[in-house]
Parts: sequence; structure tokens; C-alpha cells
Amino acid sequence: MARIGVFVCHCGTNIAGVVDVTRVAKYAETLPGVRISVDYKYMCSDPGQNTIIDAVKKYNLDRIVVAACSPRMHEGTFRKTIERAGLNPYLMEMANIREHVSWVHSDDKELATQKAMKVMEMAVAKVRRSEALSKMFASIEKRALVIGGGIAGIQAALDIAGAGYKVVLVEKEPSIGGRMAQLDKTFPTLDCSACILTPKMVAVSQDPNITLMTYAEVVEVCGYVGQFDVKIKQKAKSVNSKCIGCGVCVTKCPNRKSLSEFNEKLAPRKAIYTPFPQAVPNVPVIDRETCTFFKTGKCKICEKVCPTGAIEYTQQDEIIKEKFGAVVVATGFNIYDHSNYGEYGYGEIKDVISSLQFERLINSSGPTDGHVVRPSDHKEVKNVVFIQCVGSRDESKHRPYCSRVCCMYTAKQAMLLKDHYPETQSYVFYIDIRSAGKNYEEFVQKAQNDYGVVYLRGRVSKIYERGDKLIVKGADTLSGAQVEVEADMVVLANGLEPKANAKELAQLFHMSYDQYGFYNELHPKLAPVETAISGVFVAGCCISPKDIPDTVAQASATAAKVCALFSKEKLEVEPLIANVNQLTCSGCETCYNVCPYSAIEMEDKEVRRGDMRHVAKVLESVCKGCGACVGSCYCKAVDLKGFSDRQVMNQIETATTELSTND
Amino acid sequence: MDKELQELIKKLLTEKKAEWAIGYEKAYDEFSTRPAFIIDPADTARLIFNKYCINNLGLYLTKLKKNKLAVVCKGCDIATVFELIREKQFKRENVAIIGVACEGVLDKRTNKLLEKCENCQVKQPKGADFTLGNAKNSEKPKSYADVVEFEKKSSKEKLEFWNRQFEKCIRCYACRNVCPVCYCPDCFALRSMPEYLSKHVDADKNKLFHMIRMQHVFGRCTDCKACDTACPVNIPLSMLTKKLAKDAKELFNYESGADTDARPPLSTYDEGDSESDIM
Ligand SMILES: Cc1cc2nc3c(=O)[nH]c(=O)nc-3n(C[C@H](O)[C@H](O)[C@H](O)COP(=O)(O)OP(=O)(O)OC[C@H]3O[C@@H](n4cnc5c(N)ncnc54)[C@H](O)[C@@H]3O)c2cc1C
Ligand code: SF4
Ligand code: SF4
Ligand code: SF4
Ligand code: SF4
Ligand code: SF4
Repeated sequence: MARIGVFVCHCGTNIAGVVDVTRVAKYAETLPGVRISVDYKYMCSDPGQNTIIDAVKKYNLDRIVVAACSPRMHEGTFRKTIERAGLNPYLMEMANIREHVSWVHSDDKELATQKAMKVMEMAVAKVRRSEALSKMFASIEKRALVIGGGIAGIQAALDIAGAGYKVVLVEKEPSIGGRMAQLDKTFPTLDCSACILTPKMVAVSQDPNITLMTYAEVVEVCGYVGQFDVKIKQKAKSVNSKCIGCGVCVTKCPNRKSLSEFNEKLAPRKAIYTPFPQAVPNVPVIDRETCTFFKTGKCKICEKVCPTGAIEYTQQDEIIKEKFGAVVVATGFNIYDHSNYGEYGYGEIKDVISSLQFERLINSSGPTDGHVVRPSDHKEVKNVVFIQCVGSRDESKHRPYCSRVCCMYTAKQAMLLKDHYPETQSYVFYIDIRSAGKNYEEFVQKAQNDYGVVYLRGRVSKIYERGDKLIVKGADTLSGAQVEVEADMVVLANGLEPKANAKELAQLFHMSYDQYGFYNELHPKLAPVETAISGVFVAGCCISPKDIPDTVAQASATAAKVCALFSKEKLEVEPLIANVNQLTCSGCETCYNVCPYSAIEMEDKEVRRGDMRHVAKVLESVCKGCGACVGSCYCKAVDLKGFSDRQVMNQIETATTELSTND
Repeated sequence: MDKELQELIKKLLTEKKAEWAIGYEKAYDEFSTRPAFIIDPADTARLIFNKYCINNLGLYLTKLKKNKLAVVCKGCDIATVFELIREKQFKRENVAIIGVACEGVLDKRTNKLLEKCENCQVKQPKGADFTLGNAKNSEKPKSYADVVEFEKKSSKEKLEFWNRQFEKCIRCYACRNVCPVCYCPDCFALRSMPEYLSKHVDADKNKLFHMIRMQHVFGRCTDCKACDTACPVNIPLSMLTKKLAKDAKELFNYESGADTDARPPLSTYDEGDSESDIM
């Protein structure tokens, strides 16, 4: 007979305010196998835990039930407690009488108490069938993978490398830098984006601990924390390592049919190109989709002019397999496509431009050398209208969230314009101004007071062309008047959204994401850079829109998490994993097919003397204990340790019987 | 056709293309047949095929799977063989499928054609290694009219109907024993640690047994009717198996036994999957 102790927690008044905890404890004593049952104000406190330890010794207990909060909260705590008392930590069950009872049934104390009794009784039923499990350890490959070479990925890579660990940084574009490389100056200090970013990009390329893979993407992921097996596709650059970055090939390439992605399609680019002059690595790639040689078989001018013979048309895409202990995902953002907005001309009015296009126009190394001219006729501008919240805070576009940086960058852009062209006048249409942050409110005030930017509170209802001007019609809700502004150019503050392929990448790692494709943190407050997949961390705009300071802070946080992981020699992993009884397995491979972690292996084995069979086997260090295999096996050959069918059936049986009446 | 069949199997056994051949032989009267297991080429004269060959011989493949086999199959039985290959019970190359043209088989109890034979699309077998005889496939597709009719009943009426049926069940497990996809080494229904299902025989427990079994065979059952014909108390299990086939088709566009590389609907997930109940 088991010797079970039941410990009922008041959680202050959290539980005891609704549930009659004394009655729950008394009822426990009537259950078979229960030797002692007590209630206490805070079971998780030091004296609470000591009550458990003392009782284990005094009553020679071998199994424990703690009726308290969610296992998510304190399972770890109480496992350690009973381990200190000399018991196997897996001989403890929690009955959640807080989240599952007192918090949700505060309107009926009697029924809540009865439910708490039942929930506790089920835990007793389960623990009776619990088995001691031994701890498992896994080794850690002390190399990190960073995906995305924007400022987030750059910072994370530098910090991890700085701590002495190897890092592979994978970027899908030909250069690292991300969005920040496209920006002109940055709020709230107006320092030049390239000036603060370029040194970091160079540091990445020079760090002996960092291997940079540009024009590359992650295509397959297996494994788990400490041991991720990752396949990376290195796209053929058609330029090999002999390249010295002189750029002659780019200058001589006659093919300028493509539009520059880096310049937001405001200028053409060659078929062989580096995205921008400070690119890291400073090695061009051939865009095979447009290159004349790849299309027609004729040209090869770049090969002729290259002084080092670095052009290699025969290069192939390559799949590179690497092992990593931890992963940082920092894939950043796209801006919202404003062609969805009819009132702003469906993206068809040439002089209605996006915020990123504006950043490129005003940038002195941009396509117009920093001259803010209209894309339609290259005339300089005088009146410019900025419209905020384009694809943000707009239910009708399924973008109810605030993109956080647009109020700030709009103020920045209006100020920069005034600095370049003192005779210009800017108007900003806004819903309200969100400028929380160090020196942020002051920054916006400066735009209004010192730069004479006119802020109009209201939405724009229509933009149309009249002659060579744009007429912007909208409401000014503060004065209550309809306003009409004659503008030379309209700049939209496009909201931030995840990269188009964010979901596919998440699926490779089994990470969860929200309805837009932003990655979910493990806990929005207490674990903001961790994900539900241990060993996979996230930073920057791939989680939610944010500015550079927050992005960098998160990136460094992921580095701290990775380094903490790598500082351990071995990793303790939960032994709550699946187990196949090969005698009852029919070898149907159903579990092998459903396991989302590829933790099942099929083997041909003599399961009994003379009985050679095709059967399943669980790879212990890969199994996550999700239980998918258990549910799928019609032969009932798989079981989950800690949640065995015997435990669960016992629980269900108890759940379906009445409370015993001698209470 | 019998002569041809005997010769073919004799040849397969002699040439060691098969170690065991599974076919039909005459049983106690002219209306009865039973499975015949042949290892000696000299023994093949026992083999016959006629309209009383109701058994689905696919059942025995899992029992003899360690050998090279030859099996006589009606068109409909081939689906079972394919399904078992999909379930990795044996390899395609280890089973020689001898398809026999079939004009339909008779239920001895009623002396009527089995309902499944009415609009049969595989009177002329498809996918066999050897095909004997000629038959013309039905032009009409399989009819689910009876299931559709039953679905129209209220939940209460359905429950009453099945309660009445399962009150009769004596839990002899004949239905499970003849089912070719119920090959589990240790069926849940007989386990005691844990006891998934009480051994007590009453309408509720019986119903639970059948519900679980149906869930286990969903996407795998080929609606072969073996369970239905085996039941000694005439429980219309075919109404359940046909419903499974109909749901698999309608909700997931899936047909058991059609493709040896398929993934059955309950072990895959697709964002476009139907959300409606399957039972
Ligand atoms: C118009 C505008 C102006 C702004 N101005 C300011 C400002 O003045 N001050 C400020 O603080 N913030 C500003 N921001 C915000 C700032 O741009 C972001 O905070 C910052 O760029 C976020 O960095 P990130 O690394 O998270 O993302 P990104 O910069 O988007 O970098 C992500 C990187 O990951 C790569 N990537 C994506 N998917 C993959 C993949 N599957 N595999 C490999 N690589 C991949 C991308 O190519 C990219 O290089 C502005 C934003 C906009 C739109
Ligand atoms: S699902 Fe069950 S029977 Fe099939 S291979 Fe897996 S463990 Fe074996
Ligand atoms: S519990 Fe089963 S399905 Fe889940 S990871 Fe482990 S082996 Fe795979
Ligand atoms: S019809 Fe019955 S015997 Fe045939 S496969 Fe389906 S459940 Fe099994
Ligand atoms: S009822 Fe289920 S467990 Fe029993 S033999 Fe059939 S498939 Fe296997
Ligand atoms: S064959 Fe009929 S009586 Fe026997 S268990 Fe199956 S349904 Fe019940």
C-alpha cells in the first residue's frame, strides 16, 4: 500500500477565500493510502516546504500530492522539496485548485470546495500509479546559430562571439545590415544610421568566432536544445572567394533591368550587384533570374572584366549541415503594403511613397544623392503631407496593433526634411501621438515647436491628383473642420509586419506565432526573448514592432541566455518521455509518421527469442514527451512516462465517481 | 476458372515464388467455402472459386507475414492487401496477389448478394499480379443512400437504435477477430493493466468497445463487411463501417486501401482539414 501525504495550500486567500481548505484536507485523510493530510497558508514558503519534508520523515511517506496552484507555477519547486526529503522527484503530483478551481468558481464556494476535493482525489489516484523516474542528461554543442543579419542578429552574434563561443550568422540577402542599413538618421538623437551600424557590420566580418553566411537560408531543422541539426542552403552567388570587392563587374554589367530592393525600387540595379556600397561581405552576387548570360547564354562581360577570375557561372546551390546548441531567430520585419488602401490611391499614385522610400530619398548615398525629389517628375518638393497609421491600428485592414515606431520616425522624417530644405512645409495626419521612451516626447515636441511641422489630428479620406499637385482631403478633429492640403508629395507611415516567410521558418522550429506571423515569446513579461521551444530565442521586430534601442536590448538578452546555456557542461532534461512496448507494437509506423520531433525510429529486432519484428523505438534524447504517438497508436504500444495510461485511467475513473459521502 | 487457379498456384509454389498459398476450398456443404492454406504443390486440386467465397483472405496475411505468400483476392479484397502494405505489415514484393473476377458473393443466411456487391467497381480486379476471368464493373458508383437515410434521424433515435443493437452483443469479438486490420498483438479490449474497458457485458460497455474499435479502424477499414457477416447476433456493423468510409471520403477525400503510400487522415494535419465530427 502506498504511503501518500496530501498538502493543501491556502495561497493566502487566493484559494482559502473560496475553497474550504480544511475540508479538502480532511477528505484526503479518508482516501485509501493517504497517511497524513495538512493545510497551510503558503505551501511554497520555506516553512511550508519544511512541513512536507518533516512529514515525509515522520510518516515514512513515499508519494506526495500538493493541492495548490498550477504545475506551471510550482511543480519544479515541490519536486525539489521532495527530493530534499529523499524521495524521487517524480513521485509528486500537483492538484491545481487555484487556476482550475478558486479563481474560476468564486461565485459558488460549496461547489468549488467539492470540485477541489475531486481534483485532489484525482491527483491521489494518479500518484498511486506514479513511478520513480531517473534524471536524463544531454550534451551541449557549444555553437550558436543566428538567423537574420539585421541589427538584432548582428548584436546577438557579436555578444555571443565576445563571450568566446562560435557563431554562424545566416542572412538571406547578399549583405547583413537589415532595415537599419536603409535608414538615413535615427530618432531620437538623429545620428546617422550607417555611421553607427557599419562598424558593427565590419566587426562581424572580422570576428574569428563568427562565420558569416549571406545569401543563405535555413531549410531544415531536427533535434532539440543542445543538439539542433540544421541544414542551411547556401544559394549560388556565382562569385567565388577570389573576389576582392573592386566592383568593376558591377560597373561594367550592361543589364540594369531589375529595381533595387535596397533602394525600395526607386532606382534600377545591375544583374550582378552588391545591395549598397558598405555591404558586408563586399562581394557581389549574380541575380540569375535577370542575368543576360543565365537567360540567353550570351554576355559574360563580368567574367571578362574581373581582374581576379572570381566569376563562377557553374556554382551550384549547396546544402550545408551543421550542429548547434542554441538558436537566435532575428528575422525582422516588412512594411505594410499600402496598395491595400483605396483612399491613398492603391499604391498607384507615384508621388505617394512609403516611409522606407523616404528614408532612401533623403539619404545622401541614396538613389538621388539625398535630393528629396518626386518620383514622377524629379521636381523638388515644397509641401509634404505625412500620414500615420497606414496598416496600423486599423481593424478594417486586420492590423489592429500599433507599430510603435511610426509616430517617432514620422517626426524624424519631417525634421530631416526641414533641415535639408528650410523652405518646405510638412503636415502630419495622426490618430494620436505615442512617444513613450527616453527623450521621445521631447523629440516630437521639437518637431512641432521648433520645426513648425503642422500636426492635424484626423484621418485622410482621399488623395487625388490635380494638375501636378496631390490633393489630400481629411478631417481635423480638433478644430472640427474638413481640411484640404495641396501637396507635392505624400509620405505614408507604413506599419510593421512580419517577413512574408516568417511562418514557414517558425514551422521548421515548431515555434508558435500570432495571427499576423509575429513569433510568440514564452512569457510576454517574464520570458520575453525565450520561446516555447527550449534553446530557441527571439529578438527584434520578428516578435513585435519596436525601435532600435529595444531591438538591441533584446538581442543582448538572447546572447545572455545562449551564454548561460553554454556555460553548463551537461543539460538536465525531463524524463517525461514516450516509451514503446515492443512486444505489443505491430510496426505500423503510425507513431513514426505523427511524431513532430522525429523522435521515433523504426528497427528490425528480435523482440522475443525467435520473434524478429519491425518495431518502433523512442530516441530518448529527442522525444519531447508531447504524447502525439501515444494517442495515435491503436495497438496501445506506446506510453508516456509520468502520464502513463495507468495513471490517466486511474484519474479518469476517479473523476467519474461521486465524492465519497463519509465527508 | 478453378483449373486455371490451381495451375497458377501450383506453378508459384513449385517455382518457390510463394511458400504459402491462401485460397478457398469447399467446406461442409455446397453453399460453404473455407480458407485453404497450401504449401505442397500437389495439394492445389482443393482450390476453388465461386459465389460462396465470401471470406476476405487478407485476414490471414498478417498471421503468415514472415513467409512469401500468394493470396486469392476478389477485387474488393485487394484494398485490404494494399492497406496492410501501407501499414507496413509486409512488403509488396512478398505477396503475389491473384485477382479473381467476381460477379458478387452471397450471404448464406439470406441467400442474397451482399449489399457491397451491388454497385461494385472492382468485379474485374485492379492492381493484382495475376488476374483470372472476366467480369464487368458496375457503372453506378457505390451508394451511401442507407447511411444518408440513417443520418437524418434525430440523435435520440440513433441512440435508441444502437442501444437496441448493442444490447444484443455478446462480446464474442468475432467482429474483431475476422477484421484484417485488427491485427494488434494485444488488443485494448482484453488488457487489464490498465483496464481500458470493463469486461462487463452490457449495452454501455459494448457500445464503448465498438466506438473505440471504429475509431481504431477509421481510415484503415476498407468496408469489407467481414465483421458484419461474422456477427452471430446480426448486429449491422456495416452501417458503422460504411459511415466511416463515407466520412473519410467526404471530409478528407480519402479512401482506405487505394494507395500504399498514403497517410490516413487521422495521422496527418492540414490547415484545410474539415472541422466537423467524424463519429
Ligand atoms: C521607415 C522606418 C524608419 C525607422 N526609423 C527608426 C529610427 O529612426 N530609430 C529607431 O530606433 N528605429 C527606427 N526604425 C525601426 C528599426 O528599423 C527597427 O527597430 C530595426 O531595424 C529592427 O531590426 P531587426 O534586426 O529586428 O530587423 P531587420 O532590420 O528587419 O533585420 C532582419 C534581417 O533578417 C533577415 N532575414 C529575414 N528572414 C530571414 C531568413 N528566413 N533567413 C535569413 N535571414 C533572414 C533580413 O534579410 C534582415 O537582414 C524605423 C523603421 C522604419 C520602417
Ligand atoms: S503506432 Fe504503435 S504499433 Fe504502430 S509502430 Fe508505433 S508503437 Fe508500434
Ligand atoms: S511523445 Fe511521442 S510523438 Fe511526442 S516527441 Fe515523444 S516520441 Fe514523438
Ligand atoms: S468492414 Fe469490418 S472487418 Fe472489414 S476492415 Fe472494416 S472493420 Fe474490419
Ligand atoms: S480494436 Fe483496436 S486495439 Fe483491438 S485489434 Fe482492433 S485496432 Fe487493435
Ligand atoms: S461479432 Fe457481434 S456479438 Fe460478437 S463482439 Fe462483434 S458485435 Fe458483438
